[in-house]
Amino acid sequence: MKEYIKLAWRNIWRNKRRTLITAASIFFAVLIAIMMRSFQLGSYGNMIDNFVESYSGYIQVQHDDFWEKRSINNTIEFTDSLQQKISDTKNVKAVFPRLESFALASSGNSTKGAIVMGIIPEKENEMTRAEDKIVKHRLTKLVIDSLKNNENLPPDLMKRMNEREDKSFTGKEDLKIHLGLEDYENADEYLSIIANYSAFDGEYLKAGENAVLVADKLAKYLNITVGDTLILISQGFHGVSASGLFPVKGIISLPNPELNRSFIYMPLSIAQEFYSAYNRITSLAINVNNNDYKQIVTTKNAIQEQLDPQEFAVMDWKEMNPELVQQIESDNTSGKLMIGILYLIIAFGIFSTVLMMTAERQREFGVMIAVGMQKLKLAGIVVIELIFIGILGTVSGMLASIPGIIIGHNNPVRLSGELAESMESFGMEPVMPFALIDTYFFNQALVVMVIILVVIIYPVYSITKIKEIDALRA
Amino acid sequence: MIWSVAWKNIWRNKTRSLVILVAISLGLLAGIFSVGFMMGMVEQRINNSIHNELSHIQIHNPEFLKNDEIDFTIKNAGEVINTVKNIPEVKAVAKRIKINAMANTSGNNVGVTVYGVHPEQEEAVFDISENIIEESGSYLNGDSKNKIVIGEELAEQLNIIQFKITDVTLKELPEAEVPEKVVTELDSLKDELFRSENDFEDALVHLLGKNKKQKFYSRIKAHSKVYNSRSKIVLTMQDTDGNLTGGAFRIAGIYGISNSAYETMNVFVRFDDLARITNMDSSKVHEIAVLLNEREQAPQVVQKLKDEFPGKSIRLWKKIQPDLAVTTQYVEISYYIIIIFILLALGFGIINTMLMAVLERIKELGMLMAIGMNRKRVFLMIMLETVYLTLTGAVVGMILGYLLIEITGSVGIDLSMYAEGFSAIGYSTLIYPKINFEFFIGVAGLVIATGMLSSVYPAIKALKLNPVEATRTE
Repeated sequence: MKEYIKLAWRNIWRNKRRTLITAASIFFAVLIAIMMRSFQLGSYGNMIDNFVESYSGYIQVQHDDFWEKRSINNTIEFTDSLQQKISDTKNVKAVFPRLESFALASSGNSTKGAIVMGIIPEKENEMTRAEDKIVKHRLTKLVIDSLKNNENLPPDLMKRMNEREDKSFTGKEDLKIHLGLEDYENADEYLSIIANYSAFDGEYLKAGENAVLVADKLAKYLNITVGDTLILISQGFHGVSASGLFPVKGIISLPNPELNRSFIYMPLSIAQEFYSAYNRITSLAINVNNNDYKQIVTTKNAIQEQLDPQEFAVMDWKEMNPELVQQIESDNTSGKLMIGILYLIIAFGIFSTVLMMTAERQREFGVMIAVGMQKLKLAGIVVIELIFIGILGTVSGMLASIPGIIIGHNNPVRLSGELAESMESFGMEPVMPFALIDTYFFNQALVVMVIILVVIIYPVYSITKIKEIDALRA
Repeated sequence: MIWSVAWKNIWRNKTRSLVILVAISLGLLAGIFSVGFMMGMVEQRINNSIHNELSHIQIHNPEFLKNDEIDFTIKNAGEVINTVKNIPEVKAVAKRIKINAMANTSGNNVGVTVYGVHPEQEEAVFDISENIIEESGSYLNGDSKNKIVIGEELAEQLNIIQFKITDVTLKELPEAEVPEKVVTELDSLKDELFRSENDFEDALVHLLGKNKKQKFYSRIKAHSKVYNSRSKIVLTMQDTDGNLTGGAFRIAGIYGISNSAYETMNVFVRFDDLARITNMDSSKVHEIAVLLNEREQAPQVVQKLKDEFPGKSIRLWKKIQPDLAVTTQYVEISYYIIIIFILLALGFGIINTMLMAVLERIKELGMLMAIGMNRKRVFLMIMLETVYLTLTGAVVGMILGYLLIEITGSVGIDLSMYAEGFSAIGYSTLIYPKINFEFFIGVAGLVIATGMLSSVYPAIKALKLNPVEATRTE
């Protein structure tokens, strides 16, 4: 055996050119398969992170009946021991208590149903970054009219502003992107003029403060703005009637259109008082350190074990967002078909190099057999050679893909134009990053190795069928 | 002379030429197919929505979009409809009343949007009438008053669809690849009627256990539905004076369009029935839906209509459902990038094969140079061979690619085996690949260019050969 390995090893380096070409075809196969899968998975990961982190959280602890019936009566008591138990569970990064219920919101003559969400402002901000969504600029008709006569602004920028009349923006950067200011040379100058005129007051909540944040579309419907007072009427815990007046502290622009028409944030303690649900919450959202789904399930089960199943339900993001999961799965199915096509091409690329190699070496094989080498032993040497070359190509391909993945992860494909704008309005970051190294990385290398093992059949077959006389003449 | 030498060279070593030929044609085939698959998928998602839910253009009173109250009808709707009908690009027009209502049955009550429609207009614009589930009845045909068409998902929620495992179910399930063992277990539930999906699910969990139920549930459910047609639904809504009104409607049929969100929300009744119940003047409408001959014409027609009727909201399908445009565009872009990966793999495969093919012939080329063939001619000969091979391969690949797209495009590719519950979000499991002319030529051009370019490097290498050394190599 040792001699065969030695022979094979020498054979490889006897014709470096041929070895390098074969290894290169495997190298590129591994590199491209890994990069493509990394890209596919990364796009899904981006969708999930955006969606989950902006609303549901990765895991939620709720009252056992809350998911089916979102009533204020299906609340759980928020105790220190509950919080302690969950925070101490492995992989839990932070917990966010919430009290979520329905109320009629009213101002002047307009009334509309709204979802009231009681939160601990600083904590909520850690995960959902709610503070960044406070409206800071608004292109009202008044703003546009007063900018109309400003000679510093080019006419087609005015047109863009007209098209975005009444739109809200969460900061200068947001204004810049949505007005497409990078098209202009004096972007900074224009931005400061527009930002100045369109500035809109509004601040994030502080804990325990008697104030609310109103979602952008809801505020427009109710025709209220910062400083106005909002009337809320609802039914509290165990049928107590609930009503109250709340000053509006800020307008919040939520990415999800449904929520943007119906959401009101208030500090948790104020919400508990409003609903007479003292010290009670409807759900405890949990953020995790490692957001790999398997880890999440482990964490979920660990939490579940510590809690009474009659009283608490623990749900992960897949259970809470079945439609998102289905969308990703359906995309993933067609994604797998595409990677199947890639494997086909890769396999043929490797096969044709090996085929060529076998054809090229007919004479050599003929000589070996003519001087008395057994065909099977010769085939064995060729198999060992190809395995060596396969390992060389696979390992170097894996190594080469690592910087590629890291670069692609840190500098994702950035989308622009209309699509980017609408993705942002859905709360998705308009990027397509690569997924960092995970099981897929080794799976792809494994697939290529399997392809190589299948391809090896050809030279083995060809050697066993060789006719020495013809081969010697080749 | 050099032309025929190159041609003869190709046929001298058939294996080598065949490998290159197959590499090119297989690459082209894969390229065309993956582009076709992607286009077919995107196209289908858009078409499904347009033909079932959106139409190409919708016209509203702008106030109605902000707040869908019954009074915000389209002013001089008759005139608008006549103008629209006279536009040559327009295929069909449907006018609708659109009112929010509560739908009640003895089983449940749910909020819905009721459309008052003229069946013959509706059938010309939308495909809902073609998607009525066969066992459930028919569209709004016939003369009897107060008939209603509802979605499959809503029918399940209102317990109009019930569940029963019958002999037919047990016969059909093995064909849907549910194992015999599971089917035998189901036998014990035979002929028991479950009035709600919850009861049915509970019974199955009890019988099969959680995991097995999860795995086969969607298939068992699909084959166990009992359509309780001729049930009645009571719709409650506000009339034009703001008073509560309503009526009992008998179910004419149930539609299924693989979009559960739409199916739960939207029900259809006759225009006159809805107008009579709500006291609406039957010349008034809320929504005008326009179907064009070609989707590409839509933006121009929208512009034309906007100029004609400045006070109305005239929206392109993209604007009616922006999330559709976003997800399809996102998918489209990610697929373009994936196709680039596939083409890259293809390119490297071809380069490797070419490199191998030329370098294998070093001895032969050295001989030619030794007997006096000049370098320019050697280069020309190699390039010509590549051109012949690439073009032949390309023609074969294009023909095969065209045939593959034609065949799969008419039969469809069924992904349902790989993705359970694919359709809950409006994606069909059958994908019909299609490709337009520009892409077909584009992909072909790209592959041909790769083939040619990849032979330049080895040809240049051949130019630098030293005839004396080259003739000595093995």
